[in-house]
Amino acid sequence: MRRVLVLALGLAVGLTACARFQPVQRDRVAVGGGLSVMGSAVWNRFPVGVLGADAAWTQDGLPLDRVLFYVAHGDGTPLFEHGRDRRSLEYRANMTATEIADLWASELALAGNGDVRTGAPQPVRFAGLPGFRFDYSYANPSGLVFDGFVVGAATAKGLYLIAFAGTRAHHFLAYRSAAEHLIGSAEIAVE
Amino acid sequence: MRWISLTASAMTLLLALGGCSAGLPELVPRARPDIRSDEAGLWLVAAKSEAALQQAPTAISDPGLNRYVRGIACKVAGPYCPDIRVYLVREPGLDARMLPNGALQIGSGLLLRLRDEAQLAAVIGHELGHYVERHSFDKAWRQRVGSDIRAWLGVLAQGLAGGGGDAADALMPVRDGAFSSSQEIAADSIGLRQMTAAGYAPAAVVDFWHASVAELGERQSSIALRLLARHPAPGSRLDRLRTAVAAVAEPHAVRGYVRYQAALAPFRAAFLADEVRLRLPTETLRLFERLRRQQGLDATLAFYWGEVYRLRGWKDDRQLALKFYGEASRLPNAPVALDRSIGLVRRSESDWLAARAAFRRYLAAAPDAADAAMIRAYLAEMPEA
Ligand SMILES: [Zn+2]
Repeated sequence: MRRVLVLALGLAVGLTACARFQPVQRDRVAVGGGLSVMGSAVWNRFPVGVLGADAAWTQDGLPLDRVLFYVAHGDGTPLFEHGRDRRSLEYRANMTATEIADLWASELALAGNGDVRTGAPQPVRFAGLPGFRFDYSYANPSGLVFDGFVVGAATAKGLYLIAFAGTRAHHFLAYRSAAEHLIGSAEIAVE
Repeated sequence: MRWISLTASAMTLLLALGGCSAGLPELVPRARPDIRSDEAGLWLVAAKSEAALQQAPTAISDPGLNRYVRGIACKVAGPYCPDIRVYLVREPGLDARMLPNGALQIGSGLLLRLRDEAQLAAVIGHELGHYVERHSFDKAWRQRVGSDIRAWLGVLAQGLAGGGGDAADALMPVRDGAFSSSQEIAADSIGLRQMTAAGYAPAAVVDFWHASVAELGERQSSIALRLLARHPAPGSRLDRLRTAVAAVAEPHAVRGYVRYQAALAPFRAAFLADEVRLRLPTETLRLFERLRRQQGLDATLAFYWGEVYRLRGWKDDRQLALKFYGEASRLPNAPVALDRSIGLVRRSESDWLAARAAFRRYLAAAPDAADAAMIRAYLAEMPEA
């Protein structure tokens, strides 16, 4: 149970033998659900979602640094996927950023992480829309500490989030600006 | 004179608790296993776990709280004081673990659930009992009857070489099995002896296990109550404890309620928030009932009670949340976040007027709150009432 996250990431790494990471091209990349970002060759995309995210990108490997994309999450859908023995928490369309940050923290705690902290949400523009941003940190079940931030917006098409995290020891500071760049380039197509 | 009477009470306790387990000989104070023994191998693995505990990001570093709990542990451990090292860990749920080498891990969820110092002494005494009686080693040995324990310890020791899994994982087979009923009886006996000798009211031990079993309710187990999985407390064990405690009624014994609650006060809100964050509403509501029975309802507990309902969000939960927020607001020292939560509930009900009023009260009370800009954005987005 405490190892759901580790298992998920271990699985992700183990799967690379068959489902390989693919380098991201230096062009606008459609992530899904109408969300696109400017790609860069420093990132590698994993072909299947992890942690319930619709896409996962990394520079040095998902266990060390990662950008998770959640696109067009509808009312009543879970944000993360937990094991069968644990109920997943549902996103509600009328949630505020405060409630989404609480949900995020609970999801991390449910995945077996310790010392989960979230910063106060701040209003920001995301993909040209009124959105929010909050910082977070946690210690994974092996005691490795991560820092990260989430930027997102709730739209008529659902919730969009881009979450970056990296080890406090190195990856967060090293790749933070690349992640900021990526988030800053986000566009959501209006149909 | 005092020593004689205490020894006599200890004897009574042992008799009342009945047959002790015919296990390994007790560890004497300052004892270390023979370096060539299998038990030394187990201690080595435990030492690796202990090193991880020292570095753990979840360690509670507050010197005051550490000093306070260590002081009680030392009093209860008596001659074993130098053998026991206490580690406080921020971890919701009911849990404490004694590693075979005397490293005692105490979770914040346990501290939150205790009523008083005597209950803490009872838990420490019981864990000490498992240490003195070498139950982890005994258990490991028994679990491996028919297999070669050396080979098994060899596997565990691979964790020592670093690399892969952490030592805590390597210790899992030792830690997570339940102690046997005879081991529980033996640990209860030593725990009672030690807490009584330290001057604590033995009745606290019954209160603690009874309240923990009540929190479990009719379920077999709960992921929030890991201590009960490792230390089963069926009715027969509680009856035995009750009889033993009645035999050593000590009118001057200490409960230490005020002192304990004062020591915990600075951390209580954070520990309550950790429990709420687990999103186990049924379990958390049972915990809160336990705390209300023990300590009464204060503004902090009432606020988090409301939070459980707000976050669960079932049909009548908004009304229940508002009821508890209302109670919190009438009690002294209501948390500032109370009005923000009321605002969130009112907003989700589309009661814009009440939501605005609550968010404005929050901003008036905490104009420099870290999330003030976000709350102002909520106010700006809301339709005119
Ligand atoms: Zn026990």
